[in-house]
Amino acid sequence: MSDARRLEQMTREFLELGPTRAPDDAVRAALLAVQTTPQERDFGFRLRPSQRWLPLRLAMAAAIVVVALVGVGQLQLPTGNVGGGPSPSATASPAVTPNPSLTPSPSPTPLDTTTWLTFTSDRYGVSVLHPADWVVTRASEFWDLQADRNMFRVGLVLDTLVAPSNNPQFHVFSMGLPPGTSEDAFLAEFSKFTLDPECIPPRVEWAPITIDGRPALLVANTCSPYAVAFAFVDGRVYGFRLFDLAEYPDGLLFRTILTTVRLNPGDALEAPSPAPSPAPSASPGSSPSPPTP
Amino acid sequence: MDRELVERARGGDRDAFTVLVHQISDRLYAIAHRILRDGDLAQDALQNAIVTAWRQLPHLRDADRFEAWSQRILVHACYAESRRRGRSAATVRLISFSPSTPDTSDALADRDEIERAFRRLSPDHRAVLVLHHYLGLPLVEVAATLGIPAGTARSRLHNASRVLRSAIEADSQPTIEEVRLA
Repeated sequence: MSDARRLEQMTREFLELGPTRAPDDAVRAALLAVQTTPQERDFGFRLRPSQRWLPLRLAMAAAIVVVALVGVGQLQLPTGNVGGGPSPSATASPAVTPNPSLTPSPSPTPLDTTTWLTFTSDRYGVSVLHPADWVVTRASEFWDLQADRNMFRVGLVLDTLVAPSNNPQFHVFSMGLPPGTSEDAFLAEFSKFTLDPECIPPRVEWAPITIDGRPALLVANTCSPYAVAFAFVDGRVYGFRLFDLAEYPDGLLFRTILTTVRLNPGDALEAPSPAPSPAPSASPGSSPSPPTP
Repeated sequence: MDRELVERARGGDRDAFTVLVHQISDRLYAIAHRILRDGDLAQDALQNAIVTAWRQLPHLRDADRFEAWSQRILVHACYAESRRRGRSAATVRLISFSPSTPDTSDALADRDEIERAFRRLSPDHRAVLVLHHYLGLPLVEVAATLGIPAGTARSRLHNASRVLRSAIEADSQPTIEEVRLA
């Protein structure tokens, strides 16, 4: 072994061994994280962490001014009874005050869904229609808040319906609410521990809608082009997320897909172990653990 | 690497970035796995590197350097992963190989020997060996990828080889117990 050449040869042969292909799940999870990760723009200087949202805020402020000036109503996400069914109480919570920017607006003509296919999630007990050329990837693990805030696990816990160009994507997820957990407590925890908590408007600004005739809530992320909707049925929470809204900035695609959702909580599988959950009486200041960076 | 794709991704096009990731992820994972000697750690490093590359892509000045730049991010992600887990040398798992062709016992013994020795190296020694001997990068490129001067890359490679040889020779020495038994 004292021969330098032999050592070099051995090292080369040794390093040739081992995997040469990245696990698909790992790459998929990372790319999903990218969907919600803003880029650092080069402003000629490095922003401190607390300043990193400044450009986004400035851009948002500029966008608001532009929207106000031109009065483009169609940039609002449509709300209201997207499920087409009865809306028992109109809102999921009496405390909800609709965000003026998310109030119902004249709905554009829904997309034609006659050629769409049905996806049924055995894991989460839900079915939904999607364009025929979209690719479906089923979740391989159960969704919970911990997984949703972990950018590297979230791709494994979502039923994902993806357009051929990888955009847009529709995500389906669900979990049984632990006994005693209120809808408000769940939503507070979701907002607090999502990957980008600064980008989720306050709970009172979420818009009331219905999904499959059930009261639901919808909110648009203010930093990334996606929206999320939640429905609560028989002790379960159902979540639906659409990236990216750019192709249908009026929310038409999201609204159309949501009209096809059918909730079947009785068919959902139960997670094998108790899912990490928000405290039953969670409040804005209650014992958060640090979010995944 | 498609320069136009890099430019589009740098401008915020996630679809373009997705294509780029599919082009480089296999190689990045192979590098991470060889540095970290552990599949789980390598996956974590790969994922961190992909997200970091996306975030920092607007800072990339030369689109033609995208792959080398992403490899540098990956190597730093490997260092971070080693530090985070605190087991870069001591507790990593042995990798089991399934050779596709019949192997001689001598070759297997050599492989075990070098595997044990490699695990004793620090991550930066492993990185320089992987970039030079696995990717086949010349020292100048190794230096550019690691973001260190060429002279430092040369001495680091020399030191890594020396430590590797010492570890192999130490492994091949009989133990005190073996000497006594003889």
